[in-house]
Amino acid sequence: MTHNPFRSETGGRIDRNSPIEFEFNGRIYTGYQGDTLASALLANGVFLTARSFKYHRPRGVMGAGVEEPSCLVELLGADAGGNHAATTVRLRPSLRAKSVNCWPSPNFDLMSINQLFARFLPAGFYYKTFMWPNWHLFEPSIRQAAGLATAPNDQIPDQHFETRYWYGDALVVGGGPCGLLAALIASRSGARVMIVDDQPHPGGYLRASQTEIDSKPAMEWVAAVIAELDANPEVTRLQDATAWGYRESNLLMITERSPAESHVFQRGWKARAGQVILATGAIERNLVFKNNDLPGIMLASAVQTYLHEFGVIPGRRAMIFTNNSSAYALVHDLLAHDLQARNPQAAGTVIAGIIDSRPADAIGAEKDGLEIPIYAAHQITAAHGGKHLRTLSIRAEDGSIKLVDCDLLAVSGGWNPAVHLFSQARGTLAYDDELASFVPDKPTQRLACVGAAAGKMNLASALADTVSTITASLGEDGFEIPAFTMPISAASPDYHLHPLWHVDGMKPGDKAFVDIQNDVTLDDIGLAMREGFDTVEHVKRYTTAGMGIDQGKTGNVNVIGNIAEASAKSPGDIGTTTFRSPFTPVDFGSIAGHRNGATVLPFRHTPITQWNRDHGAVMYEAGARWQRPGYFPIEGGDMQDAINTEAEAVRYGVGVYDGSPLGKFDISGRDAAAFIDLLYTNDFGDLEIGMGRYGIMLTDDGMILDDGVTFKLAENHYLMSTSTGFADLVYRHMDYLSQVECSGWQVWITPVTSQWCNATICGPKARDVVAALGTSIDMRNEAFPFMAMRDGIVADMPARVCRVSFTGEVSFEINVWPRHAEAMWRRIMEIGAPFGIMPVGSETSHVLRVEKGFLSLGHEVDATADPYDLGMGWIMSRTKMHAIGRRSVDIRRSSGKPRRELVGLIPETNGELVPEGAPITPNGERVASEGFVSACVWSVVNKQAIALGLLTNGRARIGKTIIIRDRERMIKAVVTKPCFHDPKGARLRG
Amino acid sequence: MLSLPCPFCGQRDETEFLNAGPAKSARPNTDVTDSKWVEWLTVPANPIGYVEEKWWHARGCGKWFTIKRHTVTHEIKMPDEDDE
Repeated sequence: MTHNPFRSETGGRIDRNSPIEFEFNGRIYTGYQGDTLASALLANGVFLTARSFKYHRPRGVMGAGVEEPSCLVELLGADAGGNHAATTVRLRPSLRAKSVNCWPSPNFDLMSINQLFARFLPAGFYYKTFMWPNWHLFEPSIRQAAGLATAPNDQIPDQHFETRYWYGDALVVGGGPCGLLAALIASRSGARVMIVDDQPHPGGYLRASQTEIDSKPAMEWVAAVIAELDANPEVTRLQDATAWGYRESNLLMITERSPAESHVFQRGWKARAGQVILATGAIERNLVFKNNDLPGIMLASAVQTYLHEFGVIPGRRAMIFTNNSSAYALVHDLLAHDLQARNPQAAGTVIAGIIDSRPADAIGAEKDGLEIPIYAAHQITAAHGGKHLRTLSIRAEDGSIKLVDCDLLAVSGGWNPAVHLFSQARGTLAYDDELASFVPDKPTQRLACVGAAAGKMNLASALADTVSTITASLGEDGFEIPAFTMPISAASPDYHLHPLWHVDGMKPGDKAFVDIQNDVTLDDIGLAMREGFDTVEHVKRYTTAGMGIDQGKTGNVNVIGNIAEASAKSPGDIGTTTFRSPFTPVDFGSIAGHRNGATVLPFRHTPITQWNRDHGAVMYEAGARWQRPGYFPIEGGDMQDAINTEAEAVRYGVGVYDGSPLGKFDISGRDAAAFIDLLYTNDFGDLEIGMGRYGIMLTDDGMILDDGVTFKLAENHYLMSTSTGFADLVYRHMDYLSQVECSGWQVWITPVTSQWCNATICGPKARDVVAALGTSIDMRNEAFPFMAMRDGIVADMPARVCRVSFTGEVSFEINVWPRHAEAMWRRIMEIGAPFGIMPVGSETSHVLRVEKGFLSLGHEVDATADPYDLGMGWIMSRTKMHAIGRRSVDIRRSSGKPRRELVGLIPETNGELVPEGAPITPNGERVASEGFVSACVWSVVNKQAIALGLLTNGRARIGKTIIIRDRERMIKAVVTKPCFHDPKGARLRG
Repeated sequence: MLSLPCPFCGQRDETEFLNAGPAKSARPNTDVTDSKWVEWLTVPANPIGYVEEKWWHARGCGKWFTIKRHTVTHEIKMPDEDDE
């Protein structure tokens, strides 16, 4: 027998034949299969389990589920993760956990010195104090002190996250009596049903009560319902799964924490249903009195759960403090448990009395049959004890104070319907005076609330209401409900409550917590309101009430009630703060599932990728996820040496690069020419068949969208090339125009990027290499001029050869089918070897285009530039006012405001490169920039560092010196024309 | 995540679509005044209520279509449906 001094000898649903050892704060304890970490700790008599967030006060377990505000732990080991409520951590072998917010341990916590300074840590303390010189100076040490858990670093071994979709007719959230009943009725009507329950086993609050249904223990009814649901293939039942987000169009985000498949750590569900039934129950709230956070003080409903589910009674001498009838059930259950008999090892647990803030005549049938002291119209004024509850001060109506010893206080401040999902769905809430809480009002989506979530606190009437609600809503969707026998629950006393937002007669400085997790006291609320933060949203932000991991599940309505009381309004007039997802903390992994890294956006490869890797290329991701060689390292040289070697090959010999990623579109149809005309700012009307022309297309607001060469293949048939990175955007742009604005036109746009691969041979010896490859095309310059395109045979393969140049040298783009691409590439390398051909990576392409001053999207073109800025006013046709973007360019330029213009820059750095993006400022002062360096490379033809930049009024400043700021370093640079090599373009036409 | 009515494919999840912003009236002719042009280009309606917007079934059939979406409730209607 394990040493569980607070475990009763029988009872509970734990498996007493399966003890489990676990570690908490470095010590080994034993619990049982079926325990939570919290129940196992309580059974072991470990009551001091945490320190509070701000004052580092001693804390213990207060709740039994997702509402737990106090005992947060960090899990260690393989599935490390932070900020779990100990009440939601299932005990399992090798579980290791530690408290958060304390160091070195909750029992001896150095930061508890904060308690002594508590009066210097009021609401808004951080806002008021850490302002000079700025918050960021203080942030790291404050975060360290505030603690919470550290984020895990490693992947979970042997397990992974996954996500699934589900679509159906009815989605029931909650596995309590009303949720089960709703799912049962829906399934019998033939609907496709999902039922989601956040507990490991179904039954909801029935598991923690003695109630009967149909004259049998309620759990027998639960078992029968589950058996029927599980036998229905149209029903999906998720246990230990939390529906934590309610999105548009009835989509629920669900995390399933223990899927049947052992290799799945967690599964995220996106479930969309014709209708949603929220049977999310209610959450008990706390009562506000001095020291209401001491270990030993727990929610009454939590004590009931520990008793019934885990066989744990976490105290020897219990008191109850309530303002409503529900807590009496706990007393009945404890007495029925026959404590003395079942807990013989211990002294036994006695119930010292019930403190009920309601007057004696308001206490109804709930007290029938109880023979213990009931202190009606009494309140607790303070709890006493160091690290555990020892004594209570109780005040009678006449003001007399009485001290009562106890080590367990079960409190109930009433019940809040769990309206979180309803509110996330944008449903409005209404304040219910009887419940002193907020209930669902008008839904905006196709959903219904049933049971306690709808404010129906009596089981019999809640079940009846569930039947009528679901029958009606399924009927609206055309489902027929077969004859149905209503389950009959045992009669229970009516729920009755007198609101008690805080006890009377508290003094300033008393630590009476409204938000246990974030250490927000009643004083803090008062201070916030005195300082003018008197709406609920302001109070929340100023005091942080409700901003913890528990999102104020036990405290928020108390905050609202206290604001209302202090401002003499109804809580309904105060309203609630916004309920946001997630309802409980969620692992990011369960949202992402498999979608991480390259599975989100797969990399794109050309047929040359393997060749590149085999030849040692350093691969880059370049534009639209393409994998391209950055450079080919050379022996005995660094990256710059490799780039220089490649660049010199192109300038003085021959090089070849894989141009396949370049965007390509086949545009045809009766109106293709008109379409091209609309897209580009320059004229294409006089373009001859077999020739290409460079064009720029603009967005509607007159910025450059893309540039590229378009060839005319035939009348109304074009092949458009775009930049690699913007090909998808250009396609979207063209598709929009053709479908929406030009819907009557006949234009077919076919993306052919991956249908044509190309090897671009460039350099003075390029023509010789193509000739050596063997071709049917007449390669003489007069037969095949610059910007022409020819179909023919190259190296015995069908090819389309284009004479464009992005390097400034003679270039032949050999386009072939993808299945020939690798063979063509290998032939080029083989035939080109005697000519000294070199493969060229994207680094070298960059050098070559900067030397020529050719544009690069993302460098010189950044969605603020128009063609005039780049010195390309010639591309803005005088006759094409209808071209997209034209009007906006004209309007903007008519203001005459100075523009940033493309210039060349020669930095005085002795060859060192200037970081791209470095700002240019007037005289180098620390003032607003007048431009920036868009690219800087080592020029192999000029043997010096050269740069391109955008500079205010740059063209008028050619020859002048400007100053680039590289952080604190000043770099002088001479402004030049943006071309450093062959400005007349004789070489590329040669 | 919205569920959107593609004219070809029916109700599909938002992840299949790209939003393309407010649906604009027809492109003005070139003789429109500058201020009218700027208004057409840059001043979309932003009411509490229904807005007309363009969606592209990019990971589906490729259809461009217009819907009305309520800016508060996300309720979706076809452009020819009444707001109520």
